[in-house]
Amino acid sequence: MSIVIKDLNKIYPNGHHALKNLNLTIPSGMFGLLGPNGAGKSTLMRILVALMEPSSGEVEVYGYNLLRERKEVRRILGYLPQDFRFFAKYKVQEFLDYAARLSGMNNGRLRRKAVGDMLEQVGLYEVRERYASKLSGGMKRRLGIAQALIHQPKVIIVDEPTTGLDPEERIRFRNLLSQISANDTTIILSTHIVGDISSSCTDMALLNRGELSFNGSPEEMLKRAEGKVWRLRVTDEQYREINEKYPVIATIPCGMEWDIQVVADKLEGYDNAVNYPPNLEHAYVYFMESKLNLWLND
Amino acid sequence: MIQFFRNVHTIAKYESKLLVRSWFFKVFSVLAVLGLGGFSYGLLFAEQNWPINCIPSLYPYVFMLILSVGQAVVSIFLASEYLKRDKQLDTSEVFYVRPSSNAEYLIGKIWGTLRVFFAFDLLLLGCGLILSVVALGTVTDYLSFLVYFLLLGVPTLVFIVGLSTTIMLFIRNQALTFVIVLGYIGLTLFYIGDYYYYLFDYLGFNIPMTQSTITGFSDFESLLRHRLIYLLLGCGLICFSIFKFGRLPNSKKKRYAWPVYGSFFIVLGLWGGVSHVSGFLRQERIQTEMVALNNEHVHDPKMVIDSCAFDIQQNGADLLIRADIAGKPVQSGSVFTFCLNPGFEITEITRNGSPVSHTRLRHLVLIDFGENLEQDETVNFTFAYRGQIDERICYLDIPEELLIQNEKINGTPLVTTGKRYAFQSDNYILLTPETYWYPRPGVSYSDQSPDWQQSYFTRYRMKVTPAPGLMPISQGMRTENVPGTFEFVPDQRLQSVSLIIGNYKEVSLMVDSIEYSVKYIDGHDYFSSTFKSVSDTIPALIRLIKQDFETNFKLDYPFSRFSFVEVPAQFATYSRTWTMAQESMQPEMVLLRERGYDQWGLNFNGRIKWEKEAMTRGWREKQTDEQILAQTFRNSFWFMNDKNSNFEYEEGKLGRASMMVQENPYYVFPQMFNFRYNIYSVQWPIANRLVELFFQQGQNNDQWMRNINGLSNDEKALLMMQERSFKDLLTEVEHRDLINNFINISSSQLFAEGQMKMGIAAFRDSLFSIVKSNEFKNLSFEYLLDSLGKLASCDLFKPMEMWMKPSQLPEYLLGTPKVTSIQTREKDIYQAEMVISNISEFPGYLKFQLHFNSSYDSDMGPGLKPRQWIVHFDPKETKRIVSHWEEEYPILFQINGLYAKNLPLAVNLSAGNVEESRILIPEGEQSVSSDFLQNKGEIVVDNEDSLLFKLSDPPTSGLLNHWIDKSMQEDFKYTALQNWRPPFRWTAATDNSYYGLSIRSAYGIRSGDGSQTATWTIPLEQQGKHEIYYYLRKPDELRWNRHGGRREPKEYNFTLSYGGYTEDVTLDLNRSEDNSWVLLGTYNIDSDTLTVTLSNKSQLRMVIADAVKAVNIDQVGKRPQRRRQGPPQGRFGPGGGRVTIRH
Repeated sequence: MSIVIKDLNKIYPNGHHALKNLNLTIPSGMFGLLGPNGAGKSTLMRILVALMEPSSGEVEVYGYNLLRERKEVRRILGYLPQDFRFFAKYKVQEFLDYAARLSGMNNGRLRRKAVGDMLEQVGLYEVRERYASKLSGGMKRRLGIAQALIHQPKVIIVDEPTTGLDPEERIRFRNLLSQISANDTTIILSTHIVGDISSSCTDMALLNRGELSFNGSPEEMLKRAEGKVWRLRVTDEQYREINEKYPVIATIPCGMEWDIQVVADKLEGYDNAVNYPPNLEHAYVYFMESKLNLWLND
Repeated sequence: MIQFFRNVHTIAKYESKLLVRSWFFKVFSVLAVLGLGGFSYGLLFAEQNWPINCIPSLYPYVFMLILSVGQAVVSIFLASEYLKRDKQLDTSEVFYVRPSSNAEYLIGKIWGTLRVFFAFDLLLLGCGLILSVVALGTVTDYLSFLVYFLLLGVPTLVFIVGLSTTIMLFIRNQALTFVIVLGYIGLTLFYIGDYYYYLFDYLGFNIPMTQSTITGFSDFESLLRHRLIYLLLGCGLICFSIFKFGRLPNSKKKRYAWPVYGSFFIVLGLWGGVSHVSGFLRQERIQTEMVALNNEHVHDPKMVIDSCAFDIQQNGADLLIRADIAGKPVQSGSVFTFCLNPGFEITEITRNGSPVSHTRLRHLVLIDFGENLEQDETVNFTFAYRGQIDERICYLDIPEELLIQNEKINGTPLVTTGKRYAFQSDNYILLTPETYWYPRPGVSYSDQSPDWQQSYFTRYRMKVTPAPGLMPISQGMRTENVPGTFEFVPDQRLQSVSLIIGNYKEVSLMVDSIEYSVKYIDGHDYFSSTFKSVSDTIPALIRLIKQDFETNFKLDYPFSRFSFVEVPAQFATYSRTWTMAQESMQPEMVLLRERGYDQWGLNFNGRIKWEKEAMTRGWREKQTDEQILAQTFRNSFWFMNDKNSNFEYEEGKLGRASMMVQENPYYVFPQMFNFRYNIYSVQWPIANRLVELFFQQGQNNDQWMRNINGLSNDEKALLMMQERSFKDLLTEVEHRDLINNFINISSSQLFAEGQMKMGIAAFRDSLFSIVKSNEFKNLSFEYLLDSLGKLASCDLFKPMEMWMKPSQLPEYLLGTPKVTSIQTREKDIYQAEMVISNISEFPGYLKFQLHFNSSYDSDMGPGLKPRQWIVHFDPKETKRIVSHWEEEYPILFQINGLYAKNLPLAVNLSAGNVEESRILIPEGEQSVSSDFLQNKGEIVVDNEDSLLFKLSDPPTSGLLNHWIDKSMQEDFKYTALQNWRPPFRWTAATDNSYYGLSIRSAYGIRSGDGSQTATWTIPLEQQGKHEIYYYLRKPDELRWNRHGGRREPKEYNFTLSYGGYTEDVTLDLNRSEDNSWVLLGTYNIDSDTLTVTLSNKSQLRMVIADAVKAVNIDQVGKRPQRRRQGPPQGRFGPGGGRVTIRH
């Protein structure tokens, strides 16, 4: 296993308990980290990239202890933060060269070749002399992943990589990640866009309020949600009633009625409700809802 | 480790790119290029700055100073900017997650910033170097450009970047960091300055860094230590910033190494600071110890050295000296005290070949001759010593604050030279008597007894073997009988000798049996080629220059040699209380600092260029090149004529200003007096100075100095002498700037009676003849006074009793001088008369001088020389002084109180119109009644009247006002009124042209809205018709611009109130006479009081409140106003001020 997280806790100075006894094993390949805002995803990511120290617990990355062997971990790490802007005064090529040099690529000839190849790979070779500030959003994101990949790291951590991208760029970006993950590389993809995970991750974890809600493959998660998604046609009054009790995840107006999809273990009193095959988004809602109910019942 | 440097280099490289591409840096670069370009052009081309031409290192010095301040400010912003940027951008995190360490990252960032500045500095310095080569040619000091970069640029930047980075990491706010560090820079630059021995001067603005082309820096070790302090502190702070850097370190353990490194650097820096300060403190302590030792041994038996023969060998930087001395005890004894520089090691002291026992107490050598030596018994002995001098023995009498005060170079901004009193290195040696480089009898400076300070004439001889290729310089004729060994034999006995050894070249010329020479360091001959074309006329010009000086000082030059010797730029001297001669003036020679950089007069080429330009523009008459050269040559040495130099104008509080003056170290007078005559007194060590100053009376800048300072230095001295005795004041170091004036006044006190009895000129001649008959001999002051007293039939010792207690000064009321024309049977006579009254309880003398129309030409032609004599006044005595003249009548009466309470002390009164008269008064001085000074029916209220004259309160109030009042209390009451900078509040000033009796004063204020007023309350003796006058002394803007400003109204606004009536009166100053009573109006006043109020509302820049006069017409009758009236008469009014009443 590439990354092993044991009993990880993070308590901020203000007392906020961001991660609670997190235990997680991340295999190689694309790993999705899903969770709502405030779930602890970013905290976990920042701990994994050695930008933040955990309050307790252990993290092992490819056999290196993250707390004691940071330099070694950093050597095999690539990171693309969520809000990735640039020093406006660097050119594309310079930026990548800077990243490569800092990652220990000392041989100038090899480094220049690697930079060129990487720019080709991410489709930025033509704009290599352009200042980074002059790139489009998608190009910037590609440059971001390029800098994370330039030194061929074993672990790549990307935080909300597709936010703000148009559909074409998003697909292109996902494909790029998928290609890389094929080379025995661990890519941790933190996102709240379920589609990113369903289309590219082989494994995933669901975080909520600092705790692990689910860990497994997306298929497994789907399986857990089978029989929990219902489709039915309801009147206005019924709609209001259902909406108060269950999460309604799709609402389509249909004459004087509504065609809706509801996530619930059982939907009593609505005979016209039929089971609907769940997707990952349904599963995500199901998990979040059931956890929420558990907490409420606690 | 290699990876460490690789990473640092990478980060630095890309940080530099960011910096260079930032607008902030671009703007700074452009401004720096433009600013320094303009500055360089100004210094090198437009002005042709003379000091820079002489000391080429000054240019890179000042260049780097300015640049380093600019970049220090910019670097604060940039150093905190990258941290702010890191904080703001997640992008930084993609670098944070790289394997590089925090140290690599932060050092890389800082190095990235530094290297941009370093590269920029070097680039600009390169440009400066090119400009310097173009402007100065071969004189350019190439290495200095690098040296100043390393000494100024590097430590300043490292420190300021380290400081701002650390502060930014601690307080995490860029704006606050900027404010704090900028405030710190401002504080150190403008407030702390050179305090604490330059300790806080991290910018290098005050610590002396001038590099002499002869000897380099003044104190390189201390300078290097000082710069290292800030380099180390900067490195220490950077280490702390690495520790504090907000990124998780690669290794926790290694992280904690950085505060250790930081502490190491900071401790090292602090240690440097401590050792820097302790060096100065040690010097102070040693000097205090030396003075204490001197105090202890000041009364030990002393010798007079009759002859002294030196054999001196230079061995590297060391000197091996053997001095064969023949001495005579001044009083009998067996143990005699000598003073020798403590840096020298005494190898032996022998008498007739046998060692003599001696004790060394720092600089003192107590020689025990083993037997009692009788007074005047000749004893021969030999001192042998070696080593290097210790400069700390020099100037023990000079206050510490003066010793450490840095020396700025006039005309070249910002640079400081540093001070050295002696030099001793392999290739250059300069030892003046101040260093005690040879054994001198007695002790050096004692602050308890003046006994230390005895100077005697000695016959010196000197044999010097310098290092090969070097030339020795000393007094006397130089011969080289054995190659490499030089002998010096002075023609006369001398009080002291000096020794200079260096790579000197010489040009010399014999003119009228005197050998004139210039001894310059090889390569420093910038003058020969200039005067090549007039070399034939140089002897004649030298003869003229000599005559100029001799005529001016009324003394002839006594030596058969005169030379200018070039010495390093840092050679510093101080004026002393007991002599006019500073160390830069040695018998037969003037020690001129490096190429004469401090004398613009020696900038021959610059002067010639200026003369030619002036001729082209029509400011000068057309002259040939040869004439210009000759004139330039003759005028160039005039700088040695002035007693004072370096006038420093300083703007003070609330419109006040002051002018400080320093004594001219190149004043040539001592060559003709001090090195030739020696008037000594055990009780009064200032005896020589006193006589010296007496001979120089009239050679001062008192009048124009008082125009700026408000009081002349003599007047300030007199104010102090009323509080403390002359004897006490002589030892008070805080008043040392007035010492000359104390002595000057005391010489007036001492010689006034003699001058009165013999006549001023005869007395001076007698004094001079006694002194002259003792040329190159020791003359006792007591003998001098005794002899003079016999000639003048008076006791000259008696006035010296006054020196032991605070002075009791006379105070004179001066009447109106009057000149009348009287026809007698034999001839027409002009009768000059004046009534003067001594209103004090103390006797006094004043100098009475009459000037005639032709007096102004009397120096050059046949005009009537001014006549002067001394008049004695008993307490409360009024005298009428009458003199008769035939060909011309006096036009100006000059009254000098010599030592009196009067302000100004010296007054010039115009004689006014000559009226015809039939009353012939006998010539001479007659005691008369004080009624002679009273005018019937007139009442004058002057601004000096504390009861009848009132000023409005200052416009400000509250704490500020309180503070201002407090800060103003330190100054003298009277200051000067500067028209270009009028005071914000009523300010008192004295001047010859103001109204007043013994104190001619007025108040001035900046004109404004009329809220500030001066009010005179006039108590009228009788009701009735009165003419009201105001004494008008026009503000300078009208005096200087009498015609140009006439179109504009220039008015004073008065309000007159009496018996319930109020009347506004406007006085048109354009139409009024200056320095006279001007009529405000005629009023029928039916009350017993009149108030006149002057407001500060005026079109003029300043309003002056002086005096108001009411004349009762019923009592005196209507009379025409006199066009020009001399100072009025009066007596003290009820408020202690002046009210003039005629009964």
